[in-house]
Amino acid sequence: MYHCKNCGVDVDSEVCPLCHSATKKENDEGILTGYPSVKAKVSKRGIAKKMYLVLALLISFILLAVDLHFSSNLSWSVVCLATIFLGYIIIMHIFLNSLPSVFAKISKSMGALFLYLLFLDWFLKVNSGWSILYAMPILLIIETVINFFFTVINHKNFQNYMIAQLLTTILGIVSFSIGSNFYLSLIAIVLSLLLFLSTLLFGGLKGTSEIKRRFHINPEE
Amino acid sequence: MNKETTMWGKLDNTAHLFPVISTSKTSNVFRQSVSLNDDIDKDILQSAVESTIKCFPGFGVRLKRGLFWYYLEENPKDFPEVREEDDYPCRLIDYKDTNEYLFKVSYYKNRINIELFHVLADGIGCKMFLKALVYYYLNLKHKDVLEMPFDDELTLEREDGFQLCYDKHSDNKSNYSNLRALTLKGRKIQNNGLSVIEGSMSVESIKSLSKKYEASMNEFLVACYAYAIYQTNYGEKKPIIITVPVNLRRFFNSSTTKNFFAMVYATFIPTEGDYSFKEVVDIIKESLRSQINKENFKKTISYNVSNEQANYVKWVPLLIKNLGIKYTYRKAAKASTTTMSNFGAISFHSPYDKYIKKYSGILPMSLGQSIKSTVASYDDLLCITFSSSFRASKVQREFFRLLSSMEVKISVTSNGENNVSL
Repeated sequence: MYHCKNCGVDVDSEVCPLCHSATKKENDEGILTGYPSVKAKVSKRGIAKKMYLVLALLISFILLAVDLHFSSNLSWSVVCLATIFLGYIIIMHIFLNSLPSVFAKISKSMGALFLYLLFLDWFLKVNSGWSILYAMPILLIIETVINFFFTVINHKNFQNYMIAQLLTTILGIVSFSIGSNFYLSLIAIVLSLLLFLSTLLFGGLKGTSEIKRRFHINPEE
Repeated sequence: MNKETTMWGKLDNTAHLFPVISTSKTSNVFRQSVSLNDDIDKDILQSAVESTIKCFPGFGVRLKRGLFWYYLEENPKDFPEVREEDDYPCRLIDYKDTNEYLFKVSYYKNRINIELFHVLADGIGCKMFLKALVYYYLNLKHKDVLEMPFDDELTLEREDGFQLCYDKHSDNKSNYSNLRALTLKGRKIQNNGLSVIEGSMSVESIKSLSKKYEASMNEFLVACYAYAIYQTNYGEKKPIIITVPVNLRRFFNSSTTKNFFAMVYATFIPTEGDYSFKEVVDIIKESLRSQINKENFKKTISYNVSNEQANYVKWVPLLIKNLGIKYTYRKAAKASTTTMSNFGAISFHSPYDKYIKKYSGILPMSLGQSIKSTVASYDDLLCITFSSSFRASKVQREFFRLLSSMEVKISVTSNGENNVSL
């Protein structure tokens, strides 16, 4: 052990961790376990995020400059910027985060894609309303099809997809009531509802208890 | 065989906060460690962890997101391999690494560490789990000589103490501090690193000093901490507020392993000139004593539980609820300078006690609190551990120098993260 005269404490190193001055060796005893020397782990995600941001900023700057140079106001560059932003959200916040479920990643990406299309619809003002009229129900149908495949492939854990089925049905009803294409939104509702009900029916107790859990109803002790 | 139903349970009242506010900087993952006399055998530790999880099913769970609340669900996956300590303590739990378990077990030389996400339990719950783990470990290691002890402190109880003690008719006004506390500032360690400085000393020496100042050990140590902060921030008029978690089990006769604690705020406002250490001890003692009583805790519980049970909160979707929780937390975080958590005097049954050397703990950083400390004692060895994201160690130095000036013999070790910066 070593002794620090300034702090009046015994330490296990030649430099006092409290005042950083040199310590004096007292004896060979070393009763302290101490801590391993840790090299800061540099997160690959962090590096990827920074690289994407630098590249995105550089490209965005060039695109904005070119767009402003050739036309008096911003037009196509905004679409490119929105696409870069969508890419950032999908790659960094969805696919590179710690979510263990691939299905959850795909579903979140679909949500981000819809918001992107909604923005394009509003910005471009060409045949406006198409994002609600067609894009929303089509994305809901695609989501239901993906959900179906995951439910079949991972049938041992089928209950993991039930809440998504229910939410897709609810969003289908929302899309129907806010004026989406009649047939497309009807197909979206029917498909997702059919999938949810058949999962509930064939799932038995495991399915119903999943719904109870998600809605926080009477936990079994 | 595929089970028909999965066991699940609601989070306790305090636990709702943690999944929402946890980030890589504020992980809400705390550590408790036991140092043994001999180096740890990895394979035996692995078997001991598996046995302990079977014994404490409440810890073999994963966190899931419901429509209105988070909840805990039994985890069907195997517990991952225990690893030799190779990272900073109290890192955010990466569910991919832990197979979605809410705690990690690691070892270093003769020390077993458990790092636990606060959603699962508080310090006392963690202590129960770690004690059982150590019993299993020693039992496997010394099969011929040891039998598993019956320890009435080890309980499987997973009741929500807050709900049990909630009195609808009790006064449920908030008694949280509205003061804006002094925030300690300094240069931080890179990559969310954590500096750990651990001081070991004799329990008896601290006990006799506490007696001298007519305070309990906890009051005395909190006062030392407040005085160290006061000395290193001389001239600051803002209140020094030290959050002290209090175990509610002894007040409400519960033995749950879930979270069941309340915070009290040891407050020292240095408004007038110079304060002697004796004066600070008296102020802190008075501040703590005025808050640590059953009536006060009843009010806190009523306030928290009534908020959770209010219909306007209950049926709000989780996504929106989380925004509200974050906002409230950010506001409340300004009311504390730091935290000192006392795990108390830990004991192990004979003949296990002769294999055990030390008990210690480490707290993670939280919003506005870049230095925290824990106190734990085993036998006659008191261990005070400071964790900090600051490069400098001014407060720790003042704290240990203060004790050393009172003739306390202290041994200090650190993880070397507080080296001199250029």
